[in-house]
Amino acid sequence: MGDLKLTAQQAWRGVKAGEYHVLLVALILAVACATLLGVVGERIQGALGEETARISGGDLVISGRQPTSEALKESFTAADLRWSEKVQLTSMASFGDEFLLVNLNAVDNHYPLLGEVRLQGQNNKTWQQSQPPAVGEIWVEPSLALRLGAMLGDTLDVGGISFKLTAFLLETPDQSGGFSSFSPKVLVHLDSLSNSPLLDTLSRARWRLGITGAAATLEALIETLPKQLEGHQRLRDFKESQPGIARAMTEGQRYLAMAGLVAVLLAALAVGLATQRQAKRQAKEVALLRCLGQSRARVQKLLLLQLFWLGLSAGIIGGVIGYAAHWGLIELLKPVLPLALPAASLKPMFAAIALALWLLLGFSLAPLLSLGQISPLAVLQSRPWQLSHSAWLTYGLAGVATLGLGWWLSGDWLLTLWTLVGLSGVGLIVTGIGWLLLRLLMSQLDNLPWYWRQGLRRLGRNPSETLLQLSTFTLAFTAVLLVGRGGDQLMNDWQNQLPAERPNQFAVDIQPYEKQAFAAVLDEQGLAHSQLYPLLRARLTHINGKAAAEAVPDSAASDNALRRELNLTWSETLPEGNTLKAGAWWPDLPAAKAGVLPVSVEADVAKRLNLKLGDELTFNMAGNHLQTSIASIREVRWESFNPNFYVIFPPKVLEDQAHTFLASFVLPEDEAGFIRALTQQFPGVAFLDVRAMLAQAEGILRQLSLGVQYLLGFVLLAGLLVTWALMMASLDARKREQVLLKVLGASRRNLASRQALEFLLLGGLAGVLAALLGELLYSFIAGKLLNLPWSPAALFWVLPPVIGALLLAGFAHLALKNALQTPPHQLLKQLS
Amino acid sequence: MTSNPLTKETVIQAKDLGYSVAQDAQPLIILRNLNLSIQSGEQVAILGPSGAGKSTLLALLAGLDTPTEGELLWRGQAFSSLDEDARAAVRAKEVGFIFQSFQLLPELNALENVMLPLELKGDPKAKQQAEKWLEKVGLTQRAKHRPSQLSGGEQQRVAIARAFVAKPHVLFADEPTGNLDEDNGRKVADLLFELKAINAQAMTLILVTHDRQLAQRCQRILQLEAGQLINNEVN
Repeated sequence: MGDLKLTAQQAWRGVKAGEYHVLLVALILAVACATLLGVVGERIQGALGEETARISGGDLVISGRQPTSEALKESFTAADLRWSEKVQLTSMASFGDEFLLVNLNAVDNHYPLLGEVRLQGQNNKTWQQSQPPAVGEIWVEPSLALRLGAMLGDTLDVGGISFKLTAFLLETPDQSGGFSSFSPKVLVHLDSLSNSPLLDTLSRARWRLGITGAAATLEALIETLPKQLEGHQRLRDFKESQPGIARAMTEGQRYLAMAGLVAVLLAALAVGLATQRQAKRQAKEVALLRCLGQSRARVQKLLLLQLFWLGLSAGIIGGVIGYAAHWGLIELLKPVLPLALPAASLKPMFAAIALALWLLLGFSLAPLLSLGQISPLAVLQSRPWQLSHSAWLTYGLAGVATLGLGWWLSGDWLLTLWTLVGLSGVGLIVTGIGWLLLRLLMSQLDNLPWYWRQGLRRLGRNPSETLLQLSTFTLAFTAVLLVGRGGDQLMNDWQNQLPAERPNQFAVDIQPYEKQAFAAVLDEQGLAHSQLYPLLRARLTHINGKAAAEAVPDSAASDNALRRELNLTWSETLPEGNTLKAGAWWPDLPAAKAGVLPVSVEADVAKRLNLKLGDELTFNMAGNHLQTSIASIREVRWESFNPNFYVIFPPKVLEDQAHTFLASFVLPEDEAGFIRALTQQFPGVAFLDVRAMLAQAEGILRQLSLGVQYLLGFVLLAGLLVTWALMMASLDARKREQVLLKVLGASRRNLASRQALEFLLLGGLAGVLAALLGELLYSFIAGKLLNLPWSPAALFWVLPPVIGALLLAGFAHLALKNALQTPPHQLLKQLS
Repeated sequence: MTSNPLTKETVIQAKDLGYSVAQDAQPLIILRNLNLSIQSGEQVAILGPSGAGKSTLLALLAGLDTPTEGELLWRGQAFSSLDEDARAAVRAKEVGFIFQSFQLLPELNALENVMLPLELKGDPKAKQQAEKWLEKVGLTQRAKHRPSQLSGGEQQRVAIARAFVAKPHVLFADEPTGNLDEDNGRKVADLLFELKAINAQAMTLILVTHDRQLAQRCQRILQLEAGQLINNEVN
């Protein structure tokens, strides 16, 4: 207890005397970043999870051909889980003489499980509600009512059952189904279909049971549920139905994790640097304690306890700052957050203290142990004591601390390893290049003016210190560049995915004889549109001669691509937004077997079904068996919101098969009446309005973009802190030089020029190296981790050297300003 | 400022010189009411116990700090009212220093340390001059060695060479033997006085020490106690 109190007092005295400022600030920033990342990550992850769960209709969704058994539903209720079941099928709706295929959704009393339904009633009044339609009522999309000519209050017939139209359906929270079903949506109560032949055992209805509840219970359910499902049922993943959003989210989350990781690593580096300086400054104190008869073990214990107090304080302060900063971010995001965020837990606060102690031990233990080795003789020697800790121990401990930290923050070994390998690689390369450059400059020393000589001597005669500084500055700049570059491109990429002029309407069931006229109407109206793609439907039956379900991996046995008919098309050219990953596009194909058609398959489905180039696929198209061979594999940017297809055939070979056409186009907000005109001109064409879905996607992307910018601020702060810590580490030596040169008659201008030159040189060089290496590293990370295509960005090459040079010279000016102004006699006294 | 080494002139004159530092409510007085004058070519020792204010007086005389009271004149011109850069210019031109703790720049070798004052003046023959002075202090063989590779005595000899190389009119030495053992201390002192006698007779030497034996080698001893001049004896 005595030592605890003693060391608390010593630590406090040190803080008051300004001894621990850099160390504490670095530690507090590291902890604040990690806490911010932890709390925000936890809450936004939760919110995004809720959002995606809402889109999917539940956190977990069981999909099957029959309803889920009552026993299973009861077990969910017993486990305190909420659930809602609905059935989806295609049926015919009629009103008067008009008939149209519709996507019928029949929902139970618990619908919607998450979120609300947006409806429109009389006098265009809109509202939201969280109850399903009453039995006997129907809600339909406005475009369907328009095509049928039905008004509110009319009675519609769907699948032989009469319903009263009570509201127009503007938006449902569960958007699953995406583009797979192009028929307009109608919503009825499940009980309205009881005893209807629509739901008999041969029906092609799909039942979906959405489940939500406590995260832990759901996690456990993911493990156990698959075993309890029947053969026709499977657990669905929202990624299947929302690939664009899912990809953006995955990229975004990875990026946020990387940015956060970099911020904390930089701050941790600053902790390491500050500790080194601290240890040097404490050498005399330790030697004195040893002189006063304290054993090595006791000295180390006292130092450890001091560290404990510092870690505890920094953990609490950093935790509170990180926690407060998270409120800032949440406030910033409030307008775009779709749902209330789940409450923040206090867990990250405790983690903050543990993190501070972990960092201190990782980065400070080696210098601390070496302090214990100091001989009492040091007190009698005027020279600075050289700390002799093992480099292996120092870097080993720091490496372990950093790896643990990375894994703790990102939970992703791959990301952590790549980040660390990248940063270490940069360090090594920079050290090598820096060493060569220093040698070159030093060989030219005699030909240079005085302050060049002085500045260069300072750099060249301490190569280890200079190279450490150069690589640390370069690392810090590179890290900031990587994060900035990544954030910039990620946001551009997202913006490109959601261009202002993106398609928001799909037109399906365009008959071949209507194709020209339909395109002409869109052109006349000046509406941007995609090309009109032929649309055919076929089922994949065999792969390389084996039944498809048996030929694919077990995990894909009930894949959507096998269970239902696929939308196919033909195209002469590779569609926009598609890139060839393997194979060749027609007509540059090697000769195929007679009667075997070449096809191009989408990369994700090829991966899921383990399909390779040359595999033979058999399709059943309206009773005809088509033999095909995979000629190419394409990557599709689903988020382009253009029509996309799993399988594409070459032109001409399928033109005699029954087909319709599909197009997407951009409908300005104020031209809703145009759809009415189109419907009248092309009564058989169905329109799918995807504006609501786009708005949801935009909301999520905007959230992520803001998160990126906010975290970038922290990364910048951490980068500046490392620079500052490094500057402070050599401050005493630099002050000593300043004072001596002043005593010898150097003017302030001379000293300032020499100092500016040294740091302009160092900062400029670090900036050039950071730009080069950052770009190299980024081109790699972009492809491997963020799935972004690399493209050059000149601004990121020009700015680093300029900013690096100015930043270091500016920092040096701030750090050494006092030394320049203070009379040499006073400064000499301070330093001794 | 100009000087004529052939005529004895007053180089430094202190009038009612005082120095204090703010400490809580009460200022801590380090020097008070000092009056003295030092002639060109004179060797003056400032002697006194620890805390008497010897080093502070040396700092004020050399323009390393400014007095809080009184006036300091260099060749009849007010020195203490000059700004830091103007005083630095005077130091660069007229003053040399030797410190107790040598104060060599660790990243420069012995030769470069000696060259430093000449480089600051932009002297194109800095290297040749420095080599000459290193030879005079017997360290030609150690020219490329850095301070950490030299003994204490050798470091102080480099510092002496650095002090002499710029041909200062006034040389300030603050406890030049304080960090050395008796033998090395004596050798350094011998070297200092020998070099002055042979190469810089007109140079004024102001030496701070608490070693009476060393002080005795100077022409005049100023004795300080508790910030006041209690004796001004001529040897």
